[in-house]
Amino acid sequence: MTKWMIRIHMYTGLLNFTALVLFGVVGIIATVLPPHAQRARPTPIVSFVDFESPGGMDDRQLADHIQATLRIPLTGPAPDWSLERDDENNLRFRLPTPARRHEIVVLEEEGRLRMETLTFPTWQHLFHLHEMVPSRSTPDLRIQAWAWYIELSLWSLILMALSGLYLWLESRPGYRWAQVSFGVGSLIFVGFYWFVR
Amino acid sequence: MYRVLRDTHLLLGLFLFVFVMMFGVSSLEFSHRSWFGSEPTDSTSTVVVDPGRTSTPRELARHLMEEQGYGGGLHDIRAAEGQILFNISRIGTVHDVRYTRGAREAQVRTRVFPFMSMMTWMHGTFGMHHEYAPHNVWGALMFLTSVGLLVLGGTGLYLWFKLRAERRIGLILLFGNLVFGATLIVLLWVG
Repeated sequence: MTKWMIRIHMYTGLLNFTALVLFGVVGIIATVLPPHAQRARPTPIVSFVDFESPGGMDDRQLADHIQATLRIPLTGPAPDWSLERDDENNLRFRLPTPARRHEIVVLEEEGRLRMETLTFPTWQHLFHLHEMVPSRSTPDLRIQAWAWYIELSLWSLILMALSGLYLWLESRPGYRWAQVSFGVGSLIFVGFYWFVR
Repeated sequence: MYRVLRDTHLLLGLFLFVFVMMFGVSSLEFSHRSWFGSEPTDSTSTVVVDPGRTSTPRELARHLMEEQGYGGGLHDIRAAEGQILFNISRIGTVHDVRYTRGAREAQVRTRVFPFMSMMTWMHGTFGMHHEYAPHNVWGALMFLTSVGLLVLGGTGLYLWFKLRAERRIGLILLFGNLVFGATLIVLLWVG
């Protein structure tokens, strides 16, 4: 049993090494970044594309039609929350990817689309990657592969922690510093939880 | 060297155990929201306020914190049609306050979120720029946990490499993972 626990602990760590490093790096970045309102906003690039609306479509169908027509790499159907009509009654929606955000405005009367493309800074790309899971990703194969890798890493993180705890209790449960370390860490967590609750 | 790094891995891992579990479990809530209940308990109340302490949202918020014991940071301040709206929130609890200028009372809607939502909220509370001081303490702990993850990864690599019998399969897993991960990170960057 112990031999297998060691292997589980070790193999899950090795198999998810990239994700673990990513999780650590993202946590450090999130700490040192200034508050959201004080962050520099990247300059978007604006372009226009000719577009004839086929007509007879609701907003969702039109956004999906445009997304399929533009075929911007890594994008999927626009998120529901991004679909809106602006003051001029133009349909607006977003096509986000981990590294970029494409904001589309459908100028039906002008027969064209306004595309605003914003490339995220590297830290934001990494941040998006760390939160990308299958339930929140687009159908693109590269996105899906990464999302399933992150999903696997979440379970691995839990498995690593539990197997580590087991290995301590099985091998050196009487080690005083280990007891203190576990106790202090747990008390800080529970104490904080109790305080904010 | 081996003993030092082994003990570092063990002691740091045990200290961070609950924090790492919080990261893992809250990520599951994020990934599989339908598995968990996330509806808050919701209540409304009317509280007495001193009109002399309502000139700004911040003054009113401080007044409510002192008199009603609300803890948290002041957020989402809005003013509309003679009313002041804002919320006082901390991890797991939000007090939405609505006050009509000149009145002697304010309406407060309080939402208390369940355990799993608390975990997700804790997961996302980073940095040390929060109005609510305990959130800054938590932000510091999250920073330590993030650094700790990297240290655990580094010491874990060393401990694995010392096990000669596990090197071959370990190298396959590690390099396979690095190639797979790095390739996708680049592919998802270039689009």
